[in-house]
Order: sequence, then C-alpha cells, then structure tokens
Amino acid sequence: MIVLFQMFVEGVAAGSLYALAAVGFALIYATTRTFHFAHGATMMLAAYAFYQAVTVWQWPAVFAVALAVAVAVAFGVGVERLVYQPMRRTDASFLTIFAASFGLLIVATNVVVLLFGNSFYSVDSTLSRGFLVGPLYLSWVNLLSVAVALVSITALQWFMRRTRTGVILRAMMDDAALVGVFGLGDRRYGMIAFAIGSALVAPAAILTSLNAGLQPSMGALLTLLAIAGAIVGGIGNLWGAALGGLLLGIAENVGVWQLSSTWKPAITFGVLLIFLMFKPDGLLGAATRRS
Amino acid sequence: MKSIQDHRRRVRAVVIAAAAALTLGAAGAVAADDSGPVFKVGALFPLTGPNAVYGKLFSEGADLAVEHVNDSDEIDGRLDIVHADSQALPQPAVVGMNKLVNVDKVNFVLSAFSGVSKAIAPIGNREHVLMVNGGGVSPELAIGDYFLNDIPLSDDEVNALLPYAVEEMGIERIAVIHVNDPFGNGVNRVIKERCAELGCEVVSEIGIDPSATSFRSEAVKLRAAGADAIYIASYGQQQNVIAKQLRDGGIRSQLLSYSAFGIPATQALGAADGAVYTSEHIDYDADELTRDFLSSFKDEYGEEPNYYQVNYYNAVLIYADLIAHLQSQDKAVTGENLRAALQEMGSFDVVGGKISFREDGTVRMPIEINRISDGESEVLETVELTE
Amino acid sequence: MIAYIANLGVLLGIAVILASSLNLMVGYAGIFSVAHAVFYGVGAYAAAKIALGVTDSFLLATAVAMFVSGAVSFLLAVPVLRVREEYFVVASIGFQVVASTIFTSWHAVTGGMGGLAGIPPARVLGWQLTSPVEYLILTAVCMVLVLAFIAVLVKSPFGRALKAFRDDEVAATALGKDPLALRVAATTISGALAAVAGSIYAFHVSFVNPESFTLDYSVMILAMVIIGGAGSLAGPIVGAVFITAFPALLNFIEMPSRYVGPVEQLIYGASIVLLMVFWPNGLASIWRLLRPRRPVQAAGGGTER
Repeated sequence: MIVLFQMFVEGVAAGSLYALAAVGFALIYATTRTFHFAHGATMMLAAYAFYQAVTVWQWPAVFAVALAVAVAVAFGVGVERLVYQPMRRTDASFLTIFAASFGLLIVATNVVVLLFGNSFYSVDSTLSRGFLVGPLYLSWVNLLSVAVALVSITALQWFMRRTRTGVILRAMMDDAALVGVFGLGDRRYGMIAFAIGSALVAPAAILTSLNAGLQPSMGALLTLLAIAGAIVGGIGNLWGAALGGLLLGIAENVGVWQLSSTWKPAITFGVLLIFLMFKPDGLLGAATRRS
Repeated sequence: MKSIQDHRRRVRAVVIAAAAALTLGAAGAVAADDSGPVFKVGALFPLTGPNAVYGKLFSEGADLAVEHVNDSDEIDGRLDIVHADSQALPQPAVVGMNKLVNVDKVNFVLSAFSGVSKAIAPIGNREHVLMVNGGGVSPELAIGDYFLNDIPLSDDEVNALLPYAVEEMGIERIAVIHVNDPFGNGVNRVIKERCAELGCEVVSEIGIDPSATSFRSEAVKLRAAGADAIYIASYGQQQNVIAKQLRDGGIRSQLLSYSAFGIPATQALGAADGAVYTSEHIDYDADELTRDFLSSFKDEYGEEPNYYQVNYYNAVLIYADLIAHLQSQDKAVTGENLRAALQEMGSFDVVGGKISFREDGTVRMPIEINRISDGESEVLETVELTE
Repeated sequence: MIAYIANLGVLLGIAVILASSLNLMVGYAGIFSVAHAVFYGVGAYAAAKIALGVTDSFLLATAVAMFVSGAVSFLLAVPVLRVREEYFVVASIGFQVVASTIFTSWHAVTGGMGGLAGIPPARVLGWQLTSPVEYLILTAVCMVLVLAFIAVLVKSPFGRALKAFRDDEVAATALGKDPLALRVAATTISGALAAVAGSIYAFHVSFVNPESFTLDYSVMILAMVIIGGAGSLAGPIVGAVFITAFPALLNFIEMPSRYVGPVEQLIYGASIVLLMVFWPNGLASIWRLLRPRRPVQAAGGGTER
C-alpha cells in the first residue's frame, strides 16, 4: 500500500510539471487558435540554457533560472511574431500551422543537437536526492515541482481575472474575432499569450533537468504530454488543463503499479483516447463535438 | 525524431553510394594495381544517435587494425574499411547491411549490438558474408554459420558474476531492471535461470522502453522490492540515467551490471560509484603482439584501450589471417572460403593471446569482475569459466 | 549499383503509396491523421506473419494485410471521427503512441523490439522475387494500381460526396448524405491501401520491427502530403519525391560526419516551416499555376465548389 502511495506522490510531482506545460499550451491554443506543437521545444531550449548557465558558466542559480525563463519567452514570442502571425494573416488552415509548428520543433531539436550533441546531461544538485519523511521518500525537486505549479497557476488565474490584459485574453479565448472588433489588435495580445504560455514551461524545464537530466528528445515528449493534458482537461479551461496534466502524471506513475513499465506510454495516451471517445469535452471543457 | 532520421539517413546513404559508384566506378579498378587487391571490411556501427559514443570506440579499434595490417605484408593487397550507420537499431542496420553486401560487395562485416546482429544475421547467412560481433552481448547471439562473436556473451558474464555476488558479496535478493529488447530480455532470462541454481532470489523484474528516461515509479518499485543488489541491463546514456535516478530515489543497494558499464561516461558517474560489473579479461602482457598493440594504441589515441577497441581490432586481425591463409592456398577470398578457412585454422593469435570459437560461433574467454571506485575500475577477480 | 537505385525506387514507391492513401483522408475527406504509420505497420506485420507462417504468396499476404489494416482503421474511425477535426489529430497521435507501444510490447505477435526476422522472398503468381529490380517492378505495379484506384475513387459519386462535405458540411448534409459514414469509409480504405506499402516493405527488407512505424514517420507521411499539396493526385507524389530525394541536395556540402544528421534535419525542418509560411498550397500548385485551365485548390480547406 505504501508503494502505491509513494507512486502517487511521484505522480503528483511529475503531473505538476505536465500541468504547467498543459496550461501554457491551452492558453496559447485557446487565445490564438495556434496548435503550438513546438511548445516542447520551448521547454527543451530553456532546459539547455539552464544547464549551460549553471554547469558550464557556473552562474549563480538565480541568474540561470532567469536565463531559462528569458530563453523560453524569447523563443515563444519569436515564433509567434515571425511564423504564426504571418501565417494567420493569410488565413492558413489548421493543418498548415500544425505542419509549420512541427517543423519548428525539428529545427529547435537539431540546433540543440548541433550545439550540445546527442548525449545525456545531468545537472548535479542535491535537490534531487530523496529523504525520508515517515514512510515516504520526498525530494526537494518533487516538493518544488508541486509548489511552483501551484503558485504559477494560481497567479495566472489571478492575472486572467484581475488585470485588463487578462480580461482581454479571456475574451480572446471565448471569441478571437471579438478582440479585433474592439480594435485592440490581436497581434500584441497573441504575443502576450505566447510569452506567458512559454514562461510557464521554464520551471518544468529546470526541475526536469535536475531530476531526469537533459537530452534533445525531451521536447517532443513534453509537447505530447502538454497537448494530452490540455485535451483531457478540456480545451478553453486553464484549471482543466492543469488538472489534466496532473491526472496524466498520476496515471503514468500509478499505472505501472501492476502493469509492466513497457506499457507506460500507452497508459498516458490510452487515458487521452478514452477521454476523446467518451468525454470529448474533457474534465472541465466546452463542447467539442462536431455540430 | 528518430525514425525520420533513420529514413532520411537511409535514403541519403543510397544517394551517396549511387553518386560515388557513378563517379568512382572506374577508379576502383585502377587503385588496386600497385598494391594488389583491396579487401573491404564492412563496419556496421552506430555513427549517429545516442549510441554513437560506442560507434566511435569500435571504429578506433578497427581502424588501427586496418592500419597495422596494411603496414605489414601479411596479406597480398590491402584492407579498406567501409562504414555504414546502424544507429544501433535493427531497421537502419538492415538497410546498411544490404548496402554493404549489394553495393560494396563486402564478404566480411563487423557487427555490434544485439538487436542489430539478430536482424542482419539472416542476410549474412543467406549471402555468405562472414560477420563478427565484438560489442553485442545478448545470450541469443549464436545465430548461424556465418556469425561469430569475439566478445563473450552476457550469459558468460552472468555466469561469472552471479556465483561471485552470492558467495563473496553475500547477495541473496536480486532485482533486474532491463531494456525490453532482445539483449535485455535475454539477460533477464539468464539471471533467473542462474539464480534458481545458485539459490538466490529474483525479487523484481522491470522491463523498460529503450527510449525511456524517467524512472520515478520504477525506483519506487525497486525500493519496495528490498533487493540486496540491482542488476542494470541497459546501455549507453540510459544506464546512467537509471543509476542516477535509483540513487536519487534513496536506493542504496549494490548495483550490478555487465560490460556496457565500461564506457567512460559511466565510470565517471557519481551514481555508479561502487557498482560491480563484468567484462572480458584481456591479458595486456600476453605476448609481443599484445604489447605492440598497447603501445601503438596509446601513441595513436593517447589513452589506454578498452575491451571494445580490442575486440574490433582482433576481428580485423582474424579477417587478415583468414585472407593470408586462403592466399597461401591460392584460393579466392569469398565468404564460403573464409568460413572454411575459419574451421581449418581453429585458433588465432590476437591481442590478449590465442582465441578460438565454439561450434556455435561464440568465444570462450576469462571474465573480469570489476568495481568502479572514484571514477576508475579495479579488478576484483578474474573468473575462468568451465564448460 | 543498379541494385542500389532499385532500392531507392522501392522506398520511393512505398512513400508515394503511403502519401497518396493518406491524401484520401487529409485532402478529400478533410480528416487530419498523424497515425498513418500504424496502418503501414499493421500491414507490414500482417504480411510478415503470413509470409513466415502460412505462404510466401505476395498477393495473399497483401490481401490479408489490407483486410487487417482496414479493419483496425475502421475500428478507430467509428468512435473517434465524431469529434471535431482538431481533436482527431490529437486522437490520432494518441492512437499512434498506443499502437507503437503495442508493437514494442506484444512479444508473442510482434517479436517486440527484436521484430520479425528472416521473412522469405515474395512469390507473385509462381514467380519468385529475388533481385532488387524485381522488387522495384512489383512496387511500381502496386503503386500504379493504388494511384489508379484513388483516381477513379475521387471522381466517383463517393469521392464527390466526400469533397462536398469537406467544403461545406451543412449544404452536403442538406442533400441527405451521412457525413460520418462517408468519413469512416474513406478512413477504412486509406488504412487498407497503406497496408499495400507495408506488405511490400516487409517482403523487401525481410525484417519488420517497431522502429519503422513510429509517430515521427507518421508525421513525415503527413509532411509529404502537405508539402506536395493536399487534395490533388499529384500533390502527394511530388511531396513523397521531394522528401525522399531531398537528402541528395545536401551531399554537395562538405562537413564533418557528425554534423550531417542534425544539419540535414535542420534544413528539413526549416524547409517545412518556410514552405508552410510562403507556399501553403504545396509544391504541386506550381504545376497548376502553369496550367491555368484547372482551378487552383487550397490545401485541406479546398476552394473548389
């Protein structure tokens, strides 16, 4: 029983990071209708920036974290401005934006391969070491994962409700055309959505690099988890996306309690398929069925 | 991203080879005239991807042997090495093998990795191409008349390690975390069989995906299993990630593994400190050939060789010996004749002394049991296996 | 040398069959799938199983492969096609990942990562195929048959109904057609046609394992359709040729071997991005611009009324 509970704890920690990625993806998708497949690339770039700063340049952790956030935001805003916005102006179909986004993921992954090679890196830190609390093993990375996710997502909710920019973003989530009608210029707000959504994966990048280490394929994996989390939660609802990410993390870790670990990827995406078939609105989302 | 790379590289190799064949078609015949015939050694190593680190080691050994053979006058003619990228994966390896056999017309191929070897062996056996594996150690690599292993397979490694672990280290409960591929599954099976004989208990068997990088829940399972020792049957970067996450997850059990732990990245890994692993034993003071190899290797690469480099060096030496044997009898160097010569010659003088192959194409060698401490390996014991 | 060009030709033929069959879904039915490699894989495994256990007859193995793959495709389509199109992409990603895991972990049937090795050479109507050139002829014949079938299909009433729904679902529904049934049919046929490519692959390489049927390969097939231009017969062919032959362009650049892979990928990714930004209708639309008699179609969304 304690094993199951320990797996649940690991699942919550992993799920917190997925939640951050899913919320970022959901925010970007709901406000700009961009299927941002390169969302994981943002996370990978931030992780490598953090690694470079902390391990190679020996920067203090605070500056390294700041660099990771800056790289994430710069990449997100950059692709929105240079790739997605020009495409949206020509009324590009969903499919072409999806393809371009996948192209971006390939480009970013291989830039990292060229700069750092394909090898596995880990950031040496005592934060990932486990310690016993009663019968449970905890680690600072796990605790931080949960804390950072809680704080970030709560702060985002406050921002979306209490600030003018947040209210406009929420209006875009309901109806993108609306914003144009009010003459606010969705270009600027699109970039804001990308900036926030991208910044949210920076903590996931840093904590993952402490815990599991870095390799170039980490980006593609996180993209899939973010998308799955956002859909399970229900597109258009940020709390839902957070919940979806958390649920996937728990399912993935608790699922191998009895199942063989080789079935792990099938657990996550099996949950996704079940939701799509039987509850396509997600946990908290709006209707998604074909009219 | 992997399969796109596979596919593109495969296509790319096709195009390069086509272009090369077109432009150099005539040149091949010309090059042969002053130095005699050219014998091509096909090298099917991972040149890209996460296991490229092994490919580099393998190539260093093979390249040096080609250089040494060409500097000597053992054979009439010279050796030339032709690379194909296997990426350590079966499917690109099959494509690479087809290229080596159909386009480069090699009759001798250096293979590595168990999945790769199992996939290419049917082709080599059908086309009569002699294959030598010096890297893959799955217990299931006795795969046909044309397939040789000059590295001891992991059933030999497990057979050497388990009695030592049980008797000398007092280990009774073993957990196995293994890659879900022909190598990992084979090792897991041998450990279970051997443990049943020795009276130790396999308390947990965890199969993992070859591309997995997060082992949170696996660490929980392993910790709960309460094993005295955990046998890691993985390779490349993944074994390092596993070791790190097990230690992070509070697992203090003894780590056990096989020859893959000999790579520098693992030796230097803090989490692997204290790990005990097996490898083939090479006597670097065996004879003049070995001492010459050792000094020229250090001159060439500025470091001590490891067993992978030795195995591929030896594989090329064996090829040269077989060619010389056939030439002395005025026979053509074909796959069939190479195989016949192998049976006639029986044993070969290589680095570390004489080696000979068993009937099923495997090799018998003494096994070393090593411990990693402070970034270096120390030999705990050398085990001579009895049949 | 000839063997080598023949090998390239077989790979190209396989790519054309895959891209063209996927185009039936993407270009004509408006369903964006990133799971086409699954049907390719199911076809390859089914054909391999038949070849290893029953008979080396290519026609029989391919028929079984098409049936199995079509059935899997049908089972996926019925529940999932009810969701909105963006979600079908996600569902197909999920399906692809689950299928990859099954390929890797269902040892009894697929042989796991070790795969199915030693598939015997194909026999077609008593003729034993051995050389790469013979496989090239077989592939070319299959490719022409598949393309001809698709060409006839999209001009048939069924094809016209599909396009009607793609362009205007409301109007088409008003005419009394059932969109779900049409889409399920298109998906099933597409899956069955992909199995033809799978069967050729299994016999040609004589080895099948999960690495050939990954999410990345699915994305690559989709990229062929989009880059070439969805919704036309020529588009997927152009896309398949472009992506298959593309690496040749890089051979003119001198660089250390360890950079070749990533640089090639980098250019591949960048060219997708640039094409999508500047030429979203696909490469085949260049051809159509030169022949102004025919209406220009837009990718996916199509403007043909």
